[in-house]
Amino acid sequence: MKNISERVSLFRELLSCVNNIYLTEFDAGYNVISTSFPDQNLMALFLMCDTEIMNNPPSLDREAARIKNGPSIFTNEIGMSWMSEIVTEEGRVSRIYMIGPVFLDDYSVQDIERKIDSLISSISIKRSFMEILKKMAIIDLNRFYEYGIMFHFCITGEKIAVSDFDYPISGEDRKKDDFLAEKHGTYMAENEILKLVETGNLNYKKEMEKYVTIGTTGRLSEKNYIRHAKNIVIVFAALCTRAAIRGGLPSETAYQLREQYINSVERAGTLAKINETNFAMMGDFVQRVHKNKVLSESMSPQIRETCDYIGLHLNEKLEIRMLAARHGYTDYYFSNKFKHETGQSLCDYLNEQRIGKAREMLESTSMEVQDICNELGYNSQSYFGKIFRQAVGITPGQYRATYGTGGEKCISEKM
Amino acid sequence: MHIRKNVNIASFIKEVGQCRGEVSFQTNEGDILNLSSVLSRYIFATIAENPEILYTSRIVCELDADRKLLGSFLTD
Repeated sequence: MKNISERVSLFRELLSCVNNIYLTEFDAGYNVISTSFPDQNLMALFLMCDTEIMNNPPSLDREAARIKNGPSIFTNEIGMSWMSEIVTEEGRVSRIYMIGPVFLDDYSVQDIERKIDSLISSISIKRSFMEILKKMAIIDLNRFYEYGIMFHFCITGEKIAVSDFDYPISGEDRKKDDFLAEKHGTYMAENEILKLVETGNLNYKKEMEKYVTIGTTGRLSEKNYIRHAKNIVIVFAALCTRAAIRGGLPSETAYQLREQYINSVERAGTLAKINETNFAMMGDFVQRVHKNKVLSESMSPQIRETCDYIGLHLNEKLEIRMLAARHGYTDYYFSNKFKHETGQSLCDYLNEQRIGKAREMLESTSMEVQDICNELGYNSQSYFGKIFRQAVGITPGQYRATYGTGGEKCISEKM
Repeated sequence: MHIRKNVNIASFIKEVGQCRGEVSFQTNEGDILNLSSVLSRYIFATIAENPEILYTSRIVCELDADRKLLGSFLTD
């Protein structure tokens, strides 16, 4: 603990060298132990003011349920962001470290200035509040990530990636990660990122880290940072679509994916949700391109056709006998051939495809879990829940709470 | 109702977060802060540094249940 405190103390000093970025150490009851913010009492009050954090207080349960290992990032409705790390000792939260609050763009500050004019008539209150606001840094999102990566290393000694950041869920909002692909002056980086899609490179997360914090994003909206972030994802969706088609993905599939993710990002209400959609989109494109390549390069036409057939009939009862008979094979021969070419038994392959489809439905539709279970041909919800948990690590309900966008999947106009 | 002197304002703000109805902070100058709004809460936190405004302003709860919830922080 002493070592952590010393490291945090040094990190706090380093932060103060370049920006008004504050690092505060709280105990488990949110009492301030130390802070670089000029007013310790006010820092304690500010934390309590933030619904995003107080609705998702750091706890062991939340830590246990986390999928991501990195710092948690909270962004509230007025555009302030915080980053937290927790230290546990003997099964208890012993320290909570928070970086922030910071603004990720100056639109939020201008917006607050406008709102405060209509909200408060007292000049002294206005002045006091604006003076406090001016003490908060406005930094680029990528730089915030960089600080988070260093912050996490400082606390845990682990090196993490941008995709490891955690975005706790709050009410209708949801949190998670990460990257913004377009960078001014980094055409090469953009090409490299799109090459990951085009080649279906499953190591894309690791490869992405080489490029994700290069340069700065252009300003793609003068309205606000949410619109700006959405526009980045929409541009990236179009680029990914072309890259995936070049990589061999059927164009119709690629266009449908693009539309699905553009609709999804338009429904997103927070930066975290937008970034999550971006991340999911790239993963989806990469995996589909990869799968398409694998299928076309390493499988016999019969097994490839079987895989296509399975993909289109996941909601039906698919028996080995029937699938084998479609190609005039015996059950035994077909099972062996399938396993030899795909590396999986038919049963495992079916479950993987169904779980993949279930994840997609949980993420992008509002269908009940029972209906999804029925749709995918599972006889009981408890069996579906068990299989899902084995495969994904969390229950379908938890998955939806973390990744679901809540609306019906819809595909509309093409770009 | 006014805020009781020497109460823990951080705990008060935390408790306001649990209220079901509207809780507003009304200053003598006529400013009204709806404490369910994040921006208003941040402004309130700044005001809390100024005892003169903090203790002379009124807290108005829309619901009786919220008034009870915040009872230990308030005085007539």
